[in-house]
Amino acid sequence: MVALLVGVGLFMRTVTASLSVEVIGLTHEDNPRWWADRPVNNQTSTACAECHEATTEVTTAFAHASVNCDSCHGAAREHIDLARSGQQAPLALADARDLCTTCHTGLDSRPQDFPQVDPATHGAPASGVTTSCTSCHNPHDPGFPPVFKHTLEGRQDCLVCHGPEQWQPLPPSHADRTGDSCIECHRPGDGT
Amino acid sequence: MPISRRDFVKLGAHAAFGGLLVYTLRGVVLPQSTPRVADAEGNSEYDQYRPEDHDWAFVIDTMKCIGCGRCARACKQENNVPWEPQLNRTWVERYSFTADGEVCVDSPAGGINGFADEPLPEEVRGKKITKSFFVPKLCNQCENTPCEQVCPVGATYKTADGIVLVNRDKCIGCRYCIQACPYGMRYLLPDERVADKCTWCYHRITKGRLPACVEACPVGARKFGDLRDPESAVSKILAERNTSVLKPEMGTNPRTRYLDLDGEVV
Repeated sequence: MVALLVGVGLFMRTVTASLSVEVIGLTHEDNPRWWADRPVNNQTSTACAECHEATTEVTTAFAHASVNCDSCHGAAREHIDLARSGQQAPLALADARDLCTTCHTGLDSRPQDFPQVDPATHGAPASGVTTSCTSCHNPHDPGFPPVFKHTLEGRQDCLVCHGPEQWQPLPPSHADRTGDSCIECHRPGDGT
Repeated sequence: MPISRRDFVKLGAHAAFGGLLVYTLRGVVLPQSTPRVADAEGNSEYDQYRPEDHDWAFVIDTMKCIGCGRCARACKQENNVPWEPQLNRTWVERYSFTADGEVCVDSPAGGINGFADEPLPEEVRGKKITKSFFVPKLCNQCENTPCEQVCPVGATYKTADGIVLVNRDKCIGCRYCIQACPYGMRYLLPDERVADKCTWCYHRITKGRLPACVEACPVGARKFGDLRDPESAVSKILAERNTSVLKPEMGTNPRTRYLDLDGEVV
């Protein structure tokens, strides 16, 4: 009886393990195709450039060229599919400061040549005015020194950031000037 | 009703035979559980793909990884890996060495939120860290495949281009493979009750694209390519530099190789 059971077991194991694959149709023939046909959710910047040409062009030309759009903006498949059919589908973007610090907070474990800052002190002028990363850095062209895109809007006094001892102090030649006259020469929106 | 020993044994034998028969025929009779994703005419890009022509390999440069976790996050989004419970096809580990010889490894949430806001584990917190680095982990696509060998129903198999896949229509969710993988790469999908694992984004590489984690890595710590192409980044690295594998003593012969891997990494 035991021998019979073992025999049946061995026979069935042969059927399931080998014959199943070749003879009775239990093949994996179509399974790689099933995996290969899964939808691609994360898109490359090429797809983004279809609509966001200028932004993509800037990003791929500068320090963040190696950062895929989806790394910050999230997987874009649905966004692109909807956009192609003429619908709006805004991508959610996490708070800019969180996004930047994910990579740029100083950590012991990070390669030393990778640009890192202490978010508690970096970009925080002595005046205590808190800034977000994007007040100074354009995330698509973060460059160093950062390309200033800031406007006068919401900034009553240039010297909050540009006064002596502040984040970006005036050059020595400007020491005797006051904030009131800044815009006689500088156009903040142009970064000049 | 009393039952004789003979009847009992006969009953058991019939039950066992019936069970095996049902189980054997299951894959033939049951329809494919998931429909194919193809265009309206039923064409698939896979028709143009020849697995025999590729020999995929993965190289991880541990000295480049910044632990941002974008890879693990992209993987979740790409492959619909559940966010809860915490399951990962790929993740990032942080190794911290202290002056008194302590080695500590942590990987909060698999690193999907990065490590910027993650304090060091208690055992090393406040101590002087002498050495620290990140190690990304993903399926090694072993040539000698423990997970394939233990699968009682042949659901796990290796493709001609070297990727280890799970046939969800055959998997019975017994978890032998999860136990067998020396690298802890496998998990059970909570809803489908089938084993799942990293596929090196088979749906992307068969379309000529990079795995999502490779594309997401901002610092080039993950490199992927075809060993059949001598000009590919992975071919050049393997030809010119020293690489190693995780747990070589297991004899699994992994396709995932590491550059500058510290001896303490397991």
